[in-house]
Amino acid sequence: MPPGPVDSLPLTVPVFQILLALADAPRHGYAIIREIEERTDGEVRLTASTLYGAVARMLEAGLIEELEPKRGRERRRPYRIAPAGRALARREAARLARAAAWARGKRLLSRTPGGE
Amino acid sequence: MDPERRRAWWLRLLPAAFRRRFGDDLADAVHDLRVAARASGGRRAEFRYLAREARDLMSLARTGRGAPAVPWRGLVGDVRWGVRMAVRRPGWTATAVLTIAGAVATLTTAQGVASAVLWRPLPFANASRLVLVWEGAPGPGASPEAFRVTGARFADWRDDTHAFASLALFGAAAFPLETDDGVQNVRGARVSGAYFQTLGIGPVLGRVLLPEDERPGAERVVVLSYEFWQSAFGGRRDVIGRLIRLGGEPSRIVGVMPRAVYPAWPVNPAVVTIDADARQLWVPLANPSTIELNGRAHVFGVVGRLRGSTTMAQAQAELDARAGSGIDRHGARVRPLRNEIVGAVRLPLLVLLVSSIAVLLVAGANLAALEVAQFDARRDEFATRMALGAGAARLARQIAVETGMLAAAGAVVGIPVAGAALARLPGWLPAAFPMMTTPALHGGTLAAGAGAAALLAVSVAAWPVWRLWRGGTVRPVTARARATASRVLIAAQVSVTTALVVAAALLVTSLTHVRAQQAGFTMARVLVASVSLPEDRYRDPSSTASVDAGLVEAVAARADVAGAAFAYDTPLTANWIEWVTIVGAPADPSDRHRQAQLRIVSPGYFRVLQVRVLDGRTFTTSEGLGAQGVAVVNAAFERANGASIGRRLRIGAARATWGAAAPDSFVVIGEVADERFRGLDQPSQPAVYVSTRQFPLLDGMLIAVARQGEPDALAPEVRAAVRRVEARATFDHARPLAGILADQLAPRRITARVVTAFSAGALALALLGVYGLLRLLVVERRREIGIRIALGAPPGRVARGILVEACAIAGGGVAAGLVIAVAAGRALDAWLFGVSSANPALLTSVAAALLAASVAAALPPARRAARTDPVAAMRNS
Repeated sequence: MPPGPVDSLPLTVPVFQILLALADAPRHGYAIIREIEERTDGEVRLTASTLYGAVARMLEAGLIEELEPKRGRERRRPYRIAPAGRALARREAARLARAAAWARGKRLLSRTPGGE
Repeated sequence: MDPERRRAWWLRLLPAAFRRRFGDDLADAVHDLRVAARASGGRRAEFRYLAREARDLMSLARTGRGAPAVPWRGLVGDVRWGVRMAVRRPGWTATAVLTIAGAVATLTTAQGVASAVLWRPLPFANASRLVLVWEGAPGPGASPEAFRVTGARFADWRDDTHAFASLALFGAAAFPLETDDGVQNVRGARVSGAYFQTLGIGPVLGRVLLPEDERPGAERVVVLSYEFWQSAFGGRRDVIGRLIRLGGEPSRIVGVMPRAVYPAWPVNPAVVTIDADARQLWVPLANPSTIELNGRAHVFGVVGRLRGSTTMAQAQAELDARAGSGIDRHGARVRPLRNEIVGAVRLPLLVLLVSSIAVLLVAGANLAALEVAQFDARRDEFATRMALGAGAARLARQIAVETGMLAAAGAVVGIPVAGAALARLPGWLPAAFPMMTTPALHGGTLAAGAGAAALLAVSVAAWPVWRLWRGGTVRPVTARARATASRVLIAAQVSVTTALVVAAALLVTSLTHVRAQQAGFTMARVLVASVSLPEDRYRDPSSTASVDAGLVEAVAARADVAGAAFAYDTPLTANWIEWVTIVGAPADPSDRHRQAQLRIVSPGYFRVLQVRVLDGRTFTTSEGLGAQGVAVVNAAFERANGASIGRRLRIGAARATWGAAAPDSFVVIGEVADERFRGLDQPSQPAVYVSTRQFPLLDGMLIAVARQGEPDALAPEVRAAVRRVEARATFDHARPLAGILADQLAPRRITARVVTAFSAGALALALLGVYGLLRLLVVERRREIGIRIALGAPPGRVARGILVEACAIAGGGVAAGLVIAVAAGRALDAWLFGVSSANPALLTSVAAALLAASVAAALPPARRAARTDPVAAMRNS
């Protein structure tokens, strides 16, 4: 399916994960990939191509911003979440929480987080 | 720019703007991810990561967007779609799968045999260090160039040179084996103690022969071959330690060797014969110390293991430096073991392999052309799929999956067929074929089969995938593009077919020429059999000479026998090369030392085998042991050494075997026509004949000519006659002389037949292609043809136009094919006989024949074009 606008719900997995990764601190590309991999325990492993493809669209939609690279060893450009991106991430998280609540109501999901 | 970035060539796949903005960071991230993958999971994890990255990169390149996180979900759907499409086109599916299966089976079988003989590792340790060492003739161009080794020379090499880690002698041996069913002649090898250690192979049971077994007084031991163990002892494990009576003496079985091709029967010139019979058992040399003093009997082969990193050239140089002087001035020839044994079949096997690749290419082009033709018809199908949301890229992937499944189906059918063929192949090939390892579906062979299937899949998918990838949407393919592609593919098929047909023609012509060669002796209705007399009974020359004569008389007396003779070997298997001294005469004072085949024959031999007497006379029964030695030479001897009748020859062999009772000086009394000794395609060598009355034989070949009918039928009678003369004589391997020739011609014959079969198959495919293409063209152009006919063009001209088009396509293919044939043919020249690969007459005939065939294939469409009804054509368009 051709991808829809990057800022419409539901968010694709890469876009949401990138927003999560940048929620607490600015990071550059490789650091984003590592943070996502560690946080999701290997469940989501982005390739560099996927990452930068998403980053390009998110920049265009104003969800994230580019920062100037620091002087010295680190020459890669870090990215920072923008207010629009933060708001979007919140809306997606709320949507997922609602979906989890529905599933719990139907006894498809237990009360303990993370599992069956 | 630092080296890491310079290497990121793949960034060029990305759109320019994206690359400028993100390229550097992306390359850095990829580098870091690689390193991390390698650190956590080694090369495999790194490779897996790179595969994912490549996939997403391609996706990014196409759309400028990232791929969805889980793209493989679609694959199952693709497979289901592929199955549905295949079922909807059963004719095409069946054709494709069968064609792929056939081509894959052919290639896999050819590769399996070739690798079993030429490439797969031998069962010997470090087999690349194994060599055969022969004695070498002093001058260049001497005939033969290399020949068997004497014991003395072997001892010299073993003790005083450094090039070899180990050396061993091997020589022919034949024993009467006493079994419950009487005496059976068993052939094997007598070897020096280090033989198996030099080869580097261990036993299946028991132990191998060791140097201790050669010591004087050691118990007589014997090691069995695997085949002999199975056939004579039923494969029972309790054979070790048993005694068998070989040659009248008990020998203890100490081991059984695994199946392999061992250097066993050396024959001159410098060839190791392979046939199952010659590899039945091994015994240590009797009297190695005596053998090592004998500098005259050239009867052994030598196998050696090079030391360390010594090269063959170095070993040869070291041995050459030790060459003596005078008559014994021989150097050495050091050659790789594998090459020596398989040399004769290397080229035929490669020819077969290349031909099977040619068949593969023709099949691939054929299928591709069919796909091109069908592509337009499938446009509706594609349009439907795209309406359901598949992008052109996705569609291309679906097609790739479809053809992948076809190829997999073809491989699943073809590879097991090849496996079955490979398993049966050793049974179909002549016993003398050097099957160095057992052919089977091993790694390389499976890879060849899979590769063939993959190649065919690519050729089938190429056109549709390319059109979709380029187009983005399914634009109608221009008629010109399709026509060009079709023409190129058909022409390609015709060109490869031409090359194959030329090869087949060359091979068949060679075979015909070889068969037409004059052998110099008759083979019609001739039976030969190996006869051995018991050594303990015939210890002196005169009793042996009289039993030899008795045998010939007894066999010749049979009603069905037109003539009989006894000789050391048949002309086709002659292998006793001797140094002969031509004693000086007034006109030519100094002695000359020459090599010649020594042929020991009964007096009636020449008459029985119809060898023509050119000058003088041949043997009579009155020239016996006490009389002056007489000899007959052949024309090749006279060509090499001048007129010889009346000259005296000194030949030591008879006296060496029988002592002073036998002559050592022979007067030449006649000249006979050349017999071809080493197959019909080798020139005759100089030969000297002596009579069995003056050089009696304990072992030899009995020759019997049947009065009528098949020689095979004579065997029981001849055996009975032999047994009546000497009850303990062994009588084995009775076969027609023509059968020996057939075995010698087997490589040529088999190669010619197989390549002819391949070229017939390729021709059928190519002609079908021509027919199919022209038919399609006619159908497409119906409207145009209809208009032309309506406007008055004679139908004949329309038909001719189609034929001309067929000629043009085929002509291009044939021309390209001839170029390939001439270029590749040079590799074949060494093997061809009586015909050269660049033979203009042959090339022209093949070209003409193929053009004519193509025109014939184009006739039905041409006729259909001529009969086009203009009204119907214009109406239906």
